[in-house]
Amino acid sequence: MQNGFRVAAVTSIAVVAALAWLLRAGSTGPEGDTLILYYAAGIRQPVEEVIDEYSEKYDVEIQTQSAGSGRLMATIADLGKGDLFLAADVDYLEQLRAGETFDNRYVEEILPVAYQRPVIAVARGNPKNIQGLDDLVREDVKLSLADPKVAAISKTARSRLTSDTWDALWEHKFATRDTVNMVAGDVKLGAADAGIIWDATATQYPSIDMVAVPEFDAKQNQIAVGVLTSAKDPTRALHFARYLTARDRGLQSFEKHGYRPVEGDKWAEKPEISLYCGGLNWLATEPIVKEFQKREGCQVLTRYGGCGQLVGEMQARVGSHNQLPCDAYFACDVTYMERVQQWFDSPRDVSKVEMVIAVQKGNPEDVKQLSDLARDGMQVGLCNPQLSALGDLTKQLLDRHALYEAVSPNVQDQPATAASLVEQVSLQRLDAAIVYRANTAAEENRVDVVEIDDPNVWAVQPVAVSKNSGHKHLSERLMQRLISADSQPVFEDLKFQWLGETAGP
Amino acid sequence: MTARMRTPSQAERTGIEKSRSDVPFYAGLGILASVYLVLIASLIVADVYYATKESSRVWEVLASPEIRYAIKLSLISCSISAIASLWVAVPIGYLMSRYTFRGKLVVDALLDIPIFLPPLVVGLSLLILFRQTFLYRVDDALLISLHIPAVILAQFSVSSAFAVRSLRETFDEISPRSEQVALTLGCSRSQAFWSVVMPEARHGLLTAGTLAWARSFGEFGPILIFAGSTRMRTEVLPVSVHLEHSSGNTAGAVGVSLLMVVVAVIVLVVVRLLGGSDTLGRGFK
Amino acid sequence: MIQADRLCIQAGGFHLTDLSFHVPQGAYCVLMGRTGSGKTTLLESICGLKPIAGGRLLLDDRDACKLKPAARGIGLVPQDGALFYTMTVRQHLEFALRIRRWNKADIARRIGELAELIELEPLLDRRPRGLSGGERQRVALGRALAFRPRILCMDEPISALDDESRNHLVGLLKRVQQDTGVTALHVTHNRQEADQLADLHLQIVDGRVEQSQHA
Repeated sequence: MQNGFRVAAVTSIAVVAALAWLLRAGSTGPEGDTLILYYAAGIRQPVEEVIDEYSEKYDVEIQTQSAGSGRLMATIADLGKGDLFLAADVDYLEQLRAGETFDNRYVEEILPVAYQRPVIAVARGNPKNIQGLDDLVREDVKLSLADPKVAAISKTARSRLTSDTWDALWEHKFATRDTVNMVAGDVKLGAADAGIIWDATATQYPSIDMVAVPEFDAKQNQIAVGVLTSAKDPTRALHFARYLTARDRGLQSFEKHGYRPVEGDKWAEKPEISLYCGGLNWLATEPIVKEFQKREGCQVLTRYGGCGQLVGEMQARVGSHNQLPCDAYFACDVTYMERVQQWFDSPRDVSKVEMVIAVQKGNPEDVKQLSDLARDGMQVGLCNPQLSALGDLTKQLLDRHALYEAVSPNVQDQPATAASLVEQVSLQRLDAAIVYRANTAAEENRVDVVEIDDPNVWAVQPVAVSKNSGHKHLSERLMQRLISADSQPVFEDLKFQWLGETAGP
Repeated sequence: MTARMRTPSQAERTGIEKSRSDVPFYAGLGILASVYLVLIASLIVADVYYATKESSRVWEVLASPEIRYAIKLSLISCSISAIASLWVAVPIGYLMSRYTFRGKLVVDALLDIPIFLPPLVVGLSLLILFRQTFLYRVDDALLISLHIPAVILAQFSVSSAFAVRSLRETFDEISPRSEQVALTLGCSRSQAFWSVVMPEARHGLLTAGTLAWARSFGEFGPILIFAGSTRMRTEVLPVSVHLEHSSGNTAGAVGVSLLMVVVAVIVLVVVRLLGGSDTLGRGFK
Repeated sequence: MIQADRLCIQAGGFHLTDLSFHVPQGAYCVLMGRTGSGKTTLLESICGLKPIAGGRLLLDDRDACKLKPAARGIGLVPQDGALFYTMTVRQHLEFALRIRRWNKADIARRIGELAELIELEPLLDRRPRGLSGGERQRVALGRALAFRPRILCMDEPISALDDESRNHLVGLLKRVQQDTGVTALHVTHNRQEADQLADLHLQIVDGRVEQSQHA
């Protein structure tokens, strides 16, 4: 039986199918060609500019979601999706990275972008004559504030004030808004006499004047972009993040719109940085650097060598070219960092390791202490004190125990690195050698270790970034990667003791 | 009673003081009604005034590919969710209207939850369901949350409740007796339903469909939470208004709002015109 | 023929037990009873619209207790006519025939007969809205008779009409019933109507049916 309504019912399914097809046809291609960027609503103008520029140049679609930073932070934790988060305050990113506030870590790398500071926004010409925070709580002043729970501006402003001052403002405000722009809109439309907004936001509104507040200027507030742990293609996300934070690319848009950009890296499709790395750290550093290169899409030129040699090269290069030959330096011991510290930012300790006596398996010569090395007929290996940090430290150690002279006749070999000493012990060509415990990790089956009873046998390995590196932020990320908790197992497998960051609870 | 003599007045004879005027009644009605009408009209006029003042920014926003995409997405997603709403609302409305069963009160309450709950909560709950339970695997495979299906799902979840309520009233008003007559005339339950009940419910269907469409069109909170406000992907017109406003472009937000008014009016007029003709009214073709 | 043996009906507030009566083939039976006595419920049970809780119901010697309404072959004229508001009068008359998949020519012939029998020709293309009470009842009657049922059940078909229409419809009902030979069960609370039409009187009193031959 033909029936109009049954026909309509069947037709409606066809209509839904057709509409769904229309949507599919109009929507974007596979997920891989797109990046999802969450950004603080207040910084829309420069962000959209950079996105337009970038997506045209690299044919990558960037899908954006904007809201107050606090709200976005919650969204990211809820969804566990997306690639990048550009927050109005780096605190949000650090919270997401620390993994303490939430059940997980949601941010990997953090790249600083620009600075801004809270100011008081008033109508053009300041008709209510507002000069400072005290005026904001005047009876005749209508104050609009963003909610510190969801917007960075108020979170920052609150953190700069005593709780009494903030509470008084909060008590007095007549409107609570979600984003800094809504507050600015209130002032612009005359709905409010004053509001607290970013200086950069104020410059975007011609009809708004700003009043600086000394209390707010005590500390700068940093806008930063974070790469999310959920990023499907972190290399692509980082590529965009580097573009956004390059001083000759994205940061120019920020400057144009009234932000004070950080000193960003120079733009490069595939940037190159150079790392000077003490030979002791070689085995641990190698896999980490490889992974870092792959993830960042950059090239790390690593120069491994004895630390004395590396320091010598640096000094010579600065002498001749007035320029450091490396962007980062990972030293065998703090003493080798101190000698070149003037050219580097403050170093971070990664690990420490102690000097030991390496002996043949089963300790056939029954070596128990340093003095045993001075026994007649002992075949001993030490590192070269001129070429290697270990050699230098070994000499100091033996001097302290007044054994250097006694041991010297037994010394058969003085190479630049400890690796060959360990090899010779394992091949039974030497009876004993003073090396770092880490040097023995590779020959664990053929070499035994005798500990030395001396508190000063420890060497600490610090890493630092060159003060005038052209890729300072990239180098800092490499340093960050080296000291991050992810590196801990690599170092510990190689018998180092970990001094870097540890995984959260 | 005082004992004064007087002739009985008209009022005393009829029991009514005098023939009172009806003017105050109608004036009262008129004033109260116009309070609201004037309010709505002023809202639109204010929007138009503001938009003309900043017309260049309004046009800039309306001409942007993002807004064109949002228009398309809004129209299509609302139509899909309205049709889908009818598909669940017809059986539920019919069952709830015709039958009593154990637990009907509970079902009834369940159906009203999306109506009483703030839509935001529906969005949050959808998010929890799809991201924080085992369903996240389905979500990851089918790309629901943060994608277009999330928009439709969010609209559907809320608008269906309204369609159900509206259709249930429709079925309540249709006497079961004509259906019974159809049964005695040789119809099965299904034949009686399609050829007698549905034609009589056609205005109700149209009303429910329009209601669902309109709810979906204005839906915002749950979409923001569950589908996100991703430009060129899950941005429907209410989200556009929110995005423009929260990033400080009030003129753009007003422009999109006016656009929504125009689109809504066009759709409602078209639906009313369609509903006026009797083409769906025949039981047989 | 309608034969009820110790019929029990329990529906809503009604509780009818032990109903037994017999309406012979071709008889015009009027069922009376006070408002709320269960007349309509009994009628609906016979049509299959309300369940029968116990006892036996024979329609033309078939046990009908388990039959669906569609299979009972009863034409029903409910109290208010219950017309299909979206259909024309012609569509009403065609309804049962289309369900039975009659061919077009047969349907057209049958509509012609019905229209003449029940005086519906001028109304065929109108819809229920705007029809008078008498016209509505005639449409309901035509719809019920279209498929030539053996039994016709009517629930107060003429109670709500004015005197003139009522007299007209009484004559029409009597004539139609005689012409078609259908077994009629007519529910009313109007004694005069009953006297004019009935071959057989049934009365529901205190939940039981009393049967009396027309005097």
